[in-house]
Amino acid sequence: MRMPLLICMMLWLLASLVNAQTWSPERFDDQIAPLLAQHCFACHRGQDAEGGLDLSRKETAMRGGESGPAVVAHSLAKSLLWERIESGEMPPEANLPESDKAAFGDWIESGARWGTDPIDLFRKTTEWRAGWDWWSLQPIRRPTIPQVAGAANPIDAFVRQRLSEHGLTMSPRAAPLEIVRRLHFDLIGLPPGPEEVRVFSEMMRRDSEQAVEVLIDRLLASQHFGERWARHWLDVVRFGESQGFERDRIRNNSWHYRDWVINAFNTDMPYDEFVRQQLAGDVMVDADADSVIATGFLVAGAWDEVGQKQQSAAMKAVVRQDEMEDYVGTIGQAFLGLTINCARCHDHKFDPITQEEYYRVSASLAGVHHGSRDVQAANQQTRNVYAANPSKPQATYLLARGNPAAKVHEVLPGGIAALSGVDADFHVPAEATDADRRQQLAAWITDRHNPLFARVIVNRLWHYHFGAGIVATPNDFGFSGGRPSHPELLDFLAAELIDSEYSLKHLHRLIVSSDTYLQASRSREEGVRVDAKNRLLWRKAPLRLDAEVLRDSILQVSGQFNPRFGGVPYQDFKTHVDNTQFYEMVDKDSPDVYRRTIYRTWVRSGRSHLLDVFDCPDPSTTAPKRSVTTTPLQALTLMNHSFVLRMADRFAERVQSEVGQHADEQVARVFALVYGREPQSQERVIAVRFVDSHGLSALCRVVFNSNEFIHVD
Amino acid sequence: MSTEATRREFLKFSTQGIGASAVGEMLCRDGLAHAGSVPPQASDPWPHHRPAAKRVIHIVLCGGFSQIDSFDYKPALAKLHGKSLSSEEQPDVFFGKVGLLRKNDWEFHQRGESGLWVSDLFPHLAGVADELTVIRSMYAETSNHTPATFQQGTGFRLNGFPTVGSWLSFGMGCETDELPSYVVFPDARGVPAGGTINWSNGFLPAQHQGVTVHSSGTPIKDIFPQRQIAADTESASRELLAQFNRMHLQSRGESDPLLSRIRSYELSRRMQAVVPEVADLGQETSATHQMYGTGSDPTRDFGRSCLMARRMLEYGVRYVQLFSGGAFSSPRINWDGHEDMIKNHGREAARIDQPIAALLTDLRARGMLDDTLVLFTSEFGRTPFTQSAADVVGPGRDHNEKGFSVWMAGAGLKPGLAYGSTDEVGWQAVENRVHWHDFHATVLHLLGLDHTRLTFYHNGIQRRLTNVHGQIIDGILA
Repeated sequence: MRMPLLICMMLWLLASLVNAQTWSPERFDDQIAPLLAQHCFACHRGQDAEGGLDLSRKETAMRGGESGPAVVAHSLAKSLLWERIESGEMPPEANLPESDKAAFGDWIESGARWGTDPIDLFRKTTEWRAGWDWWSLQPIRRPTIPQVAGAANPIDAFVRQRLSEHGLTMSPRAAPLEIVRRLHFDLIGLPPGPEEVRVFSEMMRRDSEQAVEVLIDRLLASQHFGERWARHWLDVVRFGESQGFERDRIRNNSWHYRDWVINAFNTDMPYDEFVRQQLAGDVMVDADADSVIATGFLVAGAWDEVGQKQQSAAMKAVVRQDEMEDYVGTIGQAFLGLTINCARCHDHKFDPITQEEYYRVSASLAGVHHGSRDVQAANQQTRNVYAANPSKPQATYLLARGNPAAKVHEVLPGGIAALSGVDADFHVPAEATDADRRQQLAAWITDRHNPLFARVIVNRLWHYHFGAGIVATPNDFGFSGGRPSHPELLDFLAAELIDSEYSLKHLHRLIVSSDTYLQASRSREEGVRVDAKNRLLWRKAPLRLDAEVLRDSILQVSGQFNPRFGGVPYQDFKTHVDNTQFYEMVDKDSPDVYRRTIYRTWVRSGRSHLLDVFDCPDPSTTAPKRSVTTTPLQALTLMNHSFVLRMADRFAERVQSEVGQHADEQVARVFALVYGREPQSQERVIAVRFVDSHGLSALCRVVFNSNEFIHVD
Repeated sequence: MSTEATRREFLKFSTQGIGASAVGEMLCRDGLAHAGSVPPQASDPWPHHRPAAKRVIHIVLCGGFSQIDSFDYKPALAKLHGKSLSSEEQPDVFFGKVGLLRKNDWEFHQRGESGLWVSDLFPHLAGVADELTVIRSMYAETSNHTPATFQQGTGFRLNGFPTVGSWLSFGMGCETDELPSYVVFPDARGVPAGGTINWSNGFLPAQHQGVTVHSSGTPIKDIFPQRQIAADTESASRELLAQFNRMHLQSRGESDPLLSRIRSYELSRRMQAVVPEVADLGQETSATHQMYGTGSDPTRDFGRSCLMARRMLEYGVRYVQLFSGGAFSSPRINWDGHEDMIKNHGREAARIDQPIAALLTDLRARGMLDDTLVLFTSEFGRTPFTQSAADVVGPGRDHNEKGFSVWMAGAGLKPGLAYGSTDEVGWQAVENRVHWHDFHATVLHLLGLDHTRLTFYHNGIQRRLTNVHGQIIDGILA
C-alpha cells in the first residue's frame, strides 16, 4: 500500500527523533519487548504460534514464520514485521500509534539488536501488566511512624498524615452509644444490651480511654467473637455444606471445620499456624484430629460427584482439572491475594504468573481429593469429618490451553517465582508424596518473608472493620486489583502481625482502639468535597448490618436467642433425596433454629430468601467482600417474612413481661433494647399513640425495619 | 446522581409523595451506580448500540432434548436405522453404552412458507414455524447435565457465575421498579437440579438474582405479610416507619444509603399494588386462556406460566426464564429420555407445545415480538444411537453434547431459518458450529450490548458472560 507523502515524512521525522539514542539491549527491553508482548504475543508466541511465527525469541523472530523472515537487520524492505505494522495489517485489533511504529522502524534500521532472550514478559511493570517489580511482591518493610501530634496509636499517625496532605482532618470521637454499638456489632455481631450500654457510658464519664480498652478486651474474649469473625472467613473459603452441582448431597460432617475456625479465632491461634493447618494439617508430624478437620478448608467448595463418576475418562479429566482450579484459585486468593487460577489456560494476562507456575501450584495439591475421613478425637471417640482425602499424587502436566488432552510436559510442585524473598522451587522430586508437596506449599505460603502473606490478611481485617480495605480488592493484590490507599500503613500492620507472632487479636485491638476507628461517622462537607469515597478515612463509614448479624440481632432483642455454641448445624429446610437432594425452605419455630446464623446448614441449592436479599453470598466461590444492595424486595421481606412477624410478637411478649402493660414504659423498653437509648419526646408521643391503636407487636415490627436498627454509625 | 439531585428527590418524596419514575430509576440503576471504588465494577452504560430487542423470554428444557426428533431432520438416519455408527471417532458417551442407530420417532414435515423442517413432536410449534430461527449446530463442552446446564445459563461449567438474566438485569437495568427485572418460573413439578444456582446472581449484586414466581397461589414470596394484618395497622406501620427514618436521617445528615432504604419502602408499596395485578390471569379473555391451554392438563401449568410471563413483560420485566422440567428424580420430570424416548419426549412436549405456540402467536398479535426475544434451549441434545448394548436398537438415547438444536424467535432475527448443520446422522455439529459463548454473545448483541463490554470486576478479572470467547452469529441476524 502506498502511503501519502506527508505521512512518510512524518514517520521519517519521528524515526529520526527516536534515533537520537542508540539501541542497546536494555533499550530493546524497555521499548520494543513491551510492544511485542502487548500487541503480538497473544498469537505469535511459543511453539504453536500462528503462522509459525514466534516473536518472543531472537532466533525465531529473525527466522520468521511461514511467510518469511520477520526481522532483517538494517532492512525495512525485507522485514515482514515492518511491512505488516506499517500497513496497519498488524496488530489486527488496532493500528499502532505512529510513535510506536517509528520505534520499530528505527530499531530494525539500526541493526535490530535484541535484549533479554527470550523476552521476559514478567520482569517489569508496564502500563498494562504487573511485573516482578509490582508493589505487592516487594518485601515488607516496617516503615518509620510519622511524627504527628496527638497520634498515640501509630495507625492514627499514618492516617492523619495522609489527611493533612489533603487539607483534611479526622472527625471527633464518636458518642459513647455509637462506640459501644459499633464495637459490639463489629467484634461479636450482636447489639449491646441496655445494661451494657449503661455501664459503658458510666465508665466513659470516669475514664474514656480505660472504658474503651475494657470493652474491647471483654468483646475480644467473648466466644461470640469467634462466631462473628469465622463467618467472614467462611465467605473467603467458599464454605458450603453440600456437594453442589447435580445432586447437591448434603455434607452432614463439614461443620467440624466451621467450629475449628471459630475456636481458632477465639483462642487467637497464630495466623501462620492457622493457615498451615488448613493447607497441610493432616500431614504434619504432630497431626491430631483438629489438624485433619482444618483441611476441611481445601474441600469446602462444590464438588461434581456425578462428573467424577461418569464413564468417559476424557470428561472425568476435565472435571478433575476444574476441581484443581477450585483449590488453586481459592488458595491463591485467600492467602496471597493472587489470582493464580487465571493462568490455567495461558500465562496470566496481568500479573507475573506463568501458566507453568499454575501447574506447579496445582502439582503441590495433586494428592488432594474430596471425601470423608474418620478421626480420633481427644476423648477417643471416632468422628467422621469432611476433609481433604490424601492419595498418591498423579503426575501433573502443563496443559496447552488448559486442555487435559493436550499434555505438554510434566511439572513439579512449586510456587510463584515473582514473590520476592521466598524460594518458589519446592525441591521435591517427581515421586514426592502428598505430604511432602503440601508441607512445602504451606511453608512457602506462610514464610515470614513471603511479601503477600501478612499484607493480605491485615488488609482483610481492615476491610471488615472499616467496610473497605486499604486495598479495595481483598482477594486481588495484582494489577487488576486496587492500589493501597495507605501503603505504609499496610506495611506497618503487616510488620506488626509478623512481630507479634501472627496474633490476629493483637491486630484487632490495635485497629479498634485507634482514633481512626473510634471517630464519628457523620458526613462532613469538606470531606465529601475532597474525598467523597472516604478512602482517606476522614470519618468512620457507617455500615449496614450483614444478613446474619441482622437475624442474630432480631433474635437477641426478641429474647429468643439460643446461645448454644458450636456443634451440629440447624436446618432451616426440609430435605429429601430423589437422586438429587432437594431443599425446601421452612420457617421453623423452634429454639434449635434460633441459634446464631453461622450455625445454619449452608447448602448450596437451598438458599435462605431472608439472608439472600441482604446480600449473603453464594457459597460457590470465594467472596472477599459482600455487596450492599437496597431493593424493594428487601423491604418487603423484612416487613412480611413470617420469621420477622413472629419475632415481633415474641419481642412484644418479652417487653410486656419485663415492664407490664403501660405503653409508655413499653416504648421506652423497646428503644432501650433495639437502639440502646431512650426515645426522644416526639418519638415517645407517636410511638405510644401507635401502640395504643395497633399494639406493641406492630411497633416491634416497625423498629426491626428502621434505619437506626440496620445501620451502625 | 449528585447529592444535590438526591436531596431534591428526597424532598419531593417527603413533601408530595414519591415521584416513582425518577426515584425508581435511581434504585433501578443501583447495579451500575454501586460500582466499587477501585477498580471500577461498572460496565459501559446500556445500550452499547441500537437494541433490536428490549426483553427476553427464555424457555429452558431440562435434561437434554432430542434434536433428531424435533428440528434437525436427518433422512439418512431412517435408512441407517439398526446399523451401527460408522465413524472414525469412537463415541465417548456419558453412560458408556453405544447401541445401534435409531431413526427419528416423530415424522418430519416442511412447514409454513419457509419450509422449515419441524417434526410432529411439536404440532403446534409447527404452525408457527415461520417465526422460528433454528440453530442446528450447537455444541457444548460437557455431557454432564449440571455443568452443561450451568454453561447454558452462565457461560461457565462451574457453580458461582451470574446467569444471562442477571447479566441483563445488571447491564440494562429495569423498565420498572414495581417488579423485579429478572423473574423465574420453575416447572410446577419441581425446580431444576442445582435449584437457585440456575438463577443465581453469582458475584453480581443481589438485586440481579432471579426472583421465583409461581403461576398459582402467591406469586412472589413475602410480597404481603405472611399473616393477616389489619389494613389500618399496615398503613400506620408504614407511616410510623417513615417518621422514625426521617427523624433518624435528620440526626445523621443526609446519606445515600439511608435515603435509598427510605425509598425502597415506598417502592415496595407500589410493588404490592402491581404484582397481584400482573398475576391476575382473570383479566385475560377466555379465548386467550383457550389458546394457551390453561384450562386443562397437560398444558395447564406451562400455559399459565407462559401467559403470566407475557403479562410480566408487558409490565416491564426484562427477562423471564421458564423451566420445562425439574431435577433428576424418579419418575422423570424432565427431558432426560434415557429409558424411553417416545414416552418421555411425548409427555414433555405435550405440556409445552401448545402454550409456546400460543405465546408466539400472542406476542406477534400484540406487536411485542418486534422487540422481544424468545429463546428455546436445552443443555445438550441426544445421541442418534441408543443407550443400549452394542447390537441392540434400544428405546432410549444418551446425552449428546456434540451437536444439538435450539431456536430463537423475535426481534432482529431472520425468521423461518435453519442455521448450521450436523453430520449425516445428527450426531456432531459440522457446519457453522455454535458454542454457548457465541449464542450468548448474539443474545447480548440483539439486546444492544457488546459482550466484550458488559463486564464486572470480580477477584482479579473483569468478568464477562462470554469469558474470553464469543462470536456473534451473523448468519441469523436480520
